[in-house]
Amino acid sequence: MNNDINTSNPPTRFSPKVKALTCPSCGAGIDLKVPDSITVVCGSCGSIIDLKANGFNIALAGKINLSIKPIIPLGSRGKLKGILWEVIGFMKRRDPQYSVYWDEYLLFNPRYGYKWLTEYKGHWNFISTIKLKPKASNIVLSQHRISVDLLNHKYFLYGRGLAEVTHVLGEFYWRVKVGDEVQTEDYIDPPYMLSRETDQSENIWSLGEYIESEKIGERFQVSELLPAELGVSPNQPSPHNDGFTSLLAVWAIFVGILIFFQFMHLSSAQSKEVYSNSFSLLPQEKYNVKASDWSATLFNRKTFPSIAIPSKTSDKTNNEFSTNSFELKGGKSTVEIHLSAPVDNNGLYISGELINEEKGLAYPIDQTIEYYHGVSGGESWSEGSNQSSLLLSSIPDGKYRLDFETSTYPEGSVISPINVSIKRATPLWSNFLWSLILISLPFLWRYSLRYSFEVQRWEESDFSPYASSEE
Amino acid sequence: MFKLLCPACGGEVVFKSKASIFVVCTYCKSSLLRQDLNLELYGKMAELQEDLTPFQIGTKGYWSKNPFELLGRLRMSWDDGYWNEWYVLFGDGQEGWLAEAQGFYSICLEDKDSPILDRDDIKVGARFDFKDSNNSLLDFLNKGEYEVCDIKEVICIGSEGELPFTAPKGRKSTSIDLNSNDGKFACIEYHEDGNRLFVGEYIEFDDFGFTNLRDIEGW
Repeated sequence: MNNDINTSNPPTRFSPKVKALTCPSCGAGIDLKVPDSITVVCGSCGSIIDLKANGFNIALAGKINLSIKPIIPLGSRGKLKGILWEVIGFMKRRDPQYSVYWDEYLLFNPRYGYKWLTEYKGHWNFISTIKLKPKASNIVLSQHRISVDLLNHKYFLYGRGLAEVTHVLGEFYWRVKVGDEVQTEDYIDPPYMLSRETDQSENIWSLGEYIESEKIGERFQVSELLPAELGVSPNQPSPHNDGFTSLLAVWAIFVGILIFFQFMHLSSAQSKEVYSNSFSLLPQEKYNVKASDWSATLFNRKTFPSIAIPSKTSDKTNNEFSTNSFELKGGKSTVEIHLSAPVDNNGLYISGELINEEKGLAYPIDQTIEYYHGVSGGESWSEGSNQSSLLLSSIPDGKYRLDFETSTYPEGSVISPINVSIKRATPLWSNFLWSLILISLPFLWRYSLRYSFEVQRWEESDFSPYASSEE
Repeated sequence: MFKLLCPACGGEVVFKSKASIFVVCTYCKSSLLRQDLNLELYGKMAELQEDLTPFQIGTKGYWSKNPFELLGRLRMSWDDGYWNEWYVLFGDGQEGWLAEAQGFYSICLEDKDSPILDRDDIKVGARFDFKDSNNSLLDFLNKGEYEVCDIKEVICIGSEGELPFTAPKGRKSTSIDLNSNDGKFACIEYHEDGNRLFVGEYIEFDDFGFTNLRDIEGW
C-alpha cells in the first residue's frame, strides 16, 4: 500500500476521479474536484449552484461575472508546509465599511482537508480553521491592548470589521452566496494571525501564518506577476527582528564592560591635592596658627569670641580655624578631606564646614581622631589611629575654604599640630560617554528601524500601541 | 474474529468485533443483521458514492499508542455537508469511532456512565462540565468545560463493513458536537433507540500513524 501522498513532484497533468454534473442554467458539464462540495460555480455561465438544496437537490443560487480571474488559476497545485494543495475555490471579499478588498483561495488535500491562502496588498497568508478556542487574556494591559491566548501565544487585537463575499469561483464545502457577510476580528502575533468570523449561527476561529509572496509564485508556478507588496501587513514578520536579541545582548555586554571599567577608573582616579597645611593647637587662649592663616583666624576670633569666656577655654583646648581659599576644578566630583594629628591616649574632635565661597553653600564635616593603647592582663592593645579622612561626594567646581573648630579630650590634652590635606578626585567621563555613544549607535540604528516597522504595522489598526492618544 | 456466510449470496462475512450486529456484505451489498451466529437479510445497501476519503476498511492507526483498525463506516449527511463515522476496534478490545470531516479527525470512545444532557438544554454556545463522569477510562477527559459547537439533524446515507447497531440508509439522528478549548471533543447522539455520549479528542492526521490507507486517484 502506498501510505504517502505523492508530493515529490507535483504533476502538471493529473486525472482525479471527479463527479460530473450538468449546469442547471446553461447545460454545460461541470466537474467537481471534491465530491463533498456543497457549492460550485459554473465556469461557463457563472451560475452559482447549490448542490445540496433541500436535501440532495441541485438549485441555482445566484450568478457572477466571470471576467474576474484569480491570479492563481483554479486547479493549480503547490506544496506548502510539505503538503500538496490544490486550488479549488476563489473568493473576493471586502469590508463594506472601508471598501477594502482582498482575495481568498480555497486549498484542498484529501488527507489534510481545507486551507486558505489570502492575499491583501501583495501580502499572503496561509490559513487553517482551528477547533481550539482561544481564551480571552486575563491580563488586560489597557482598553486598546486587547489580547487572546492560544497555546502559550498571546495575540493582540489588530482590527474588527466585516467581510462580505463579492465574488466566487470554483467549489466550496459550504453554501456560498454573494453578499454573505460575517463579522471579523483579527489578533496578531507575527508571523501569526488569529481570526474570528462570527455570524448568527457560527463562531469560527482560524490561524494564519504570513507567507512570502515569492514562495507563492514559485510553489504554485504562477505565470502572472503577483501583486507588489504594499506597506507592512499586520502579521508580517519584522526583517529587523533577525538577530535583534543577540544584538541587544552584545550591546548590553559591552555597556556592562564599559560601566565596569568606568567604575574601576572612578575608584582609582588620580586625586589631586588642592590644599595642604598644618595647624598648631595650643592649650591657651592665644591661637598659634601659621602666618598664612593668621588673618582668617583673627577674623574668626572676632566672630566667635571664645576668648571672652576664659573660664571655659582655659581648661580645655578649643580652637577655631579657617583654611585659605582653594579652587576645585574638573567638574562635579568627590572631595577628600584628610586629617591627621599626633594623638596618644587621647582624642581630637573636629567639626566644621566646607564652604563654597561664591555660592555660600556649606557641607558640614564631623570627624574624630583618637588613639589609645596600653597593656592589660599582660597583653598590649591599641585602638584607633592618628588619622582620619572623609569623602564628600558631588561637590561642584568653585572657590572653597574649610572652617573648622577642634576640641580635645580628655580635658587639657595637648595635641598639635593638625595636618589638613584636601584632595580633588579628577575622573574622566568623556571617554566613557564617547565609548557609550559609539557602542550604542548600531543598536540604536537597528532599534529605530524596528520601531518604525512596528509603527507602520499598526498604522491601519484602531488598536495601535504606538498611536498618540487622541481621545 | 469469526466468519459467517451471507444468506443472500453465500459469500464469506467476516466479523472482527463481537459487538457488531449489522454488516454489509462486500460481495452483494446486502445489509445483514446478526443474532449470535445467525445472519438475517435486512435489506440492500447502495454502493457508497466516491468521496475522496483517505480511509478504507482495514486501515490501521494509533490513538496514544493504542492500535486500532477501521471495521465499518457510516456516511452521514446534514443540511450543510457530509462526513464519515468510522467504527473502530482497538487492540485491547475497546470500540470507538473516528470521525472524518473536512480534514478534521476526532477519535472517541463511548462514555456509558455519564448522564446524558437533556436535549432541551443544548444550544450552540452553551457550556457543560463533564467532571461528574465516573468512567475511569475517560479520566483524562474529565477536566474542563465543553462548548456546544453545532447541532446537526443527521441522516445516514449509506454504510459499509461491520457496525454495532442497525445503520440502514435513512437512519435519522441528532448529532451535537462539543469542543473544549484544549482540543478535547465530545459528541452526543440523540436517536429514537437511545441517546449516547462519546468523548475523545481532535488529532492531526499525521499523528495517527495510519497504515493501509486507501489510494486516492489523482493524489
